[in-house]
Amino acid sequence: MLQSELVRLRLPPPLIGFGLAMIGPTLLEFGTEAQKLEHIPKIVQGEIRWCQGYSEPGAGSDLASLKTSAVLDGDRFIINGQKVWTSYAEKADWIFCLVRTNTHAKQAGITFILIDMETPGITTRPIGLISGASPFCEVFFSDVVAYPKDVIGEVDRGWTVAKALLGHERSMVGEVFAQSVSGGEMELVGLAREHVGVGADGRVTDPLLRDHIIRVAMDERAFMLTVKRIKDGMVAAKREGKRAMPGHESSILKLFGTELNQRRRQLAVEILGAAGLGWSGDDYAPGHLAMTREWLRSRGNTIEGGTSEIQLDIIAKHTLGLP
Amino acid sequence: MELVLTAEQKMISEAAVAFFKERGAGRLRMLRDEARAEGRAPTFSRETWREMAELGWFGLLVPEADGGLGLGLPEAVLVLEAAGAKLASEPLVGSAIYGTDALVRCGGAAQRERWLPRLIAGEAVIAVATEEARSRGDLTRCEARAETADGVTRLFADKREVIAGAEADVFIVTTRRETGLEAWLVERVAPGVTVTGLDRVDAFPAARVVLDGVVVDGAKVSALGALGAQSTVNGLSLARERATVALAAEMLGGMAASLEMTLRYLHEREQFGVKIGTFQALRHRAARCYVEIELARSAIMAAARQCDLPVLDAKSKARLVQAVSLAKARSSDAYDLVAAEAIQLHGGIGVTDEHVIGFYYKRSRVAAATFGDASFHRDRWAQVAGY
Repeated sequence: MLQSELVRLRLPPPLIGFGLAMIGPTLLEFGTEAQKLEHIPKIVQGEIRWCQGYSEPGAGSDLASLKTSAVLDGDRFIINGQKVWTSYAEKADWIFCLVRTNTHAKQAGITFILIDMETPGITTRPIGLISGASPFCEVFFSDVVAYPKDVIGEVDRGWTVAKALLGHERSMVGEVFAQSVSGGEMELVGLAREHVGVGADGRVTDPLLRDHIIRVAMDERAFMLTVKRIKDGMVAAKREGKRAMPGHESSILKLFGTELNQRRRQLAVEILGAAGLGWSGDDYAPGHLAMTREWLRSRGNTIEGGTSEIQLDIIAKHTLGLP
Repeated sequence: MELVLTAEQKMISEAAVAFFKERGAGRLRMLRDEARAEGRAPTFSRETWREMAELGWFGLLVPEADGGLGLGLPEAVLVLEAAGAKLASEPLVGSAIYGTDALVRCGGAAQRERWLPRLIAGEAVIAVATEEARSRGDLTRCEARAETADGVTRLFADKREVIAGAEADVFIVTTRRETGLEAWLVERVAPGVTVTGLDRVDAFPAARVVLDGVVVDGAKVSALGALGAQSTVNGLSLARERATVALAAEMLGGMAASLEMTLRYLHEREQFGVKIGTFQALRHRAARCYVEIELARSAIMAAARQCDLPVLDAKSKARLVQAVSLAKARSSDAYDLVAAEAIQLHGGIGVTDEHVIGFYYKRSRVAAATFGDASFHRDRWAQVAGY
């Protein structure tokens, strides 16, 4: 419910999103009693802010090829390497990190570990995007000390934990996404009436732009109905006592929802014409500047959280059963 | 409104799927080849039509009080989907849904009594003649006319794409006067009625129906319900919305079958020493088809449920119109894409007449153009929204 209120008010999910929706459920599933006792209360009360250390410059879609190393030295791990695309790393208190504890195996050499961001040797650098400032950061580890007690699951068995967490991330992103995509039709129509024109019959005067608005609006409705159908199916399965975990349907939502968002942002800027070309300054309305930034930022939607190509691969393999 | 199937709906779906699976998708080719050999337009199988009647499918939407099963559109679309998967050309959409529903909604007591039992039993066929050469899906674009002189009313109409027109025993025909749209119940045997079977690319039965001064005698030819009543136009319009959703469901079955067939081929066909289903380009194209199908499915399920809700005011009417337009536009674009992709992914055999996939492609075009194409429905969506 918090999620839907935040989205309704168009606020980004805060740092606690990572705690509540991602590391929290993962700790519940894989953590020891001591780990749950140490971290869960602080997550629930929003006292500790978390960030996620997964991707690396050399490990994006092929996450399992990650190289940040964790070498056991007596009773501690020494971490060296670099993470990228870590949201809010500058503000986070702790990071949940995928590190390599065995270089002779790929997935079976990965460990899932929690690290205190105050530990000496950790530095962060923000990443600017084509749309301007972003919460994304690079995180550098130089001989950073971490502890076996903070390993979730077992050493070398972190990939299983990581996959489960990705599953939770997918449903969180899917939800936030699904809600943020709706309600844009009359906004676009309003923009078109103002910037393009309306005929005596009430129609937007540019028939092609009008058609694009209609297509985006109709696709939004079909998308929302599909979100609903998936949810209704899960509720019905639960009622019948069947397991109701989100399956690979999230790939359809992620694929279609992100491309739809790009089309919507692009269309807004097209409708604005010259008013949609500003980067900054008083010659541009703040609302229009925001739309231009949104259009630029939206290019990342089909890349982050699993590229569209990866989603298509997932649908092909797991839903369609292709060889 | 829950977008899930109840246990009863699942049973109806399974029964329908089994029915059409047993008869196979090859029937359409047989009917087409027979027609060509005999130099006539294709028709449907009367035997299969009677078998469907025995299952109660022509009374699906008819109220129990009138002898039907009293089910709703959410159930009917499941039968249509199964029919579409196997290219069944029996006129479920045109007759069992459009014509029968219009008769139930608009017909006078005597008209309903005379025709409903025979229609439900599969002994008579009803066809709706509302489309014209230039109407392009718009029910209100009607050049056909009724002229009254010396107390005699005569009907003049040239109707096209009349589903099952050549097999029909009775037609619902629309004409226009200055006062507005009017609907008539016209028996096939009335003097002045000429029916010509059309040979269309999809080999589904359709006809051109010409009325040349057909006299309204109150027996073989009469006003459908109350003459010129707004309620008649509303009833016909609503029957048409439901037939549109039913058609979208038939298209859904066809596109799902096309993809299924394609996936099987991707699993079997080998080139360059591997299954072609391992080629990423083909996997991605198949995955996109799947996404389009699922979006269409959601739209159809929602529209079917929306159509069963009462239309009480302008707002609920707008919701219904938008739901139907979404279902039809989505289905048209999706079937178009999936059928074309299916041919492409089958390679050379996909363009042969020998392979069944071409029949789906041809059906996708005709279905897209029936009851308003995607463009018509997009425009209608926006009109309802005020832009």
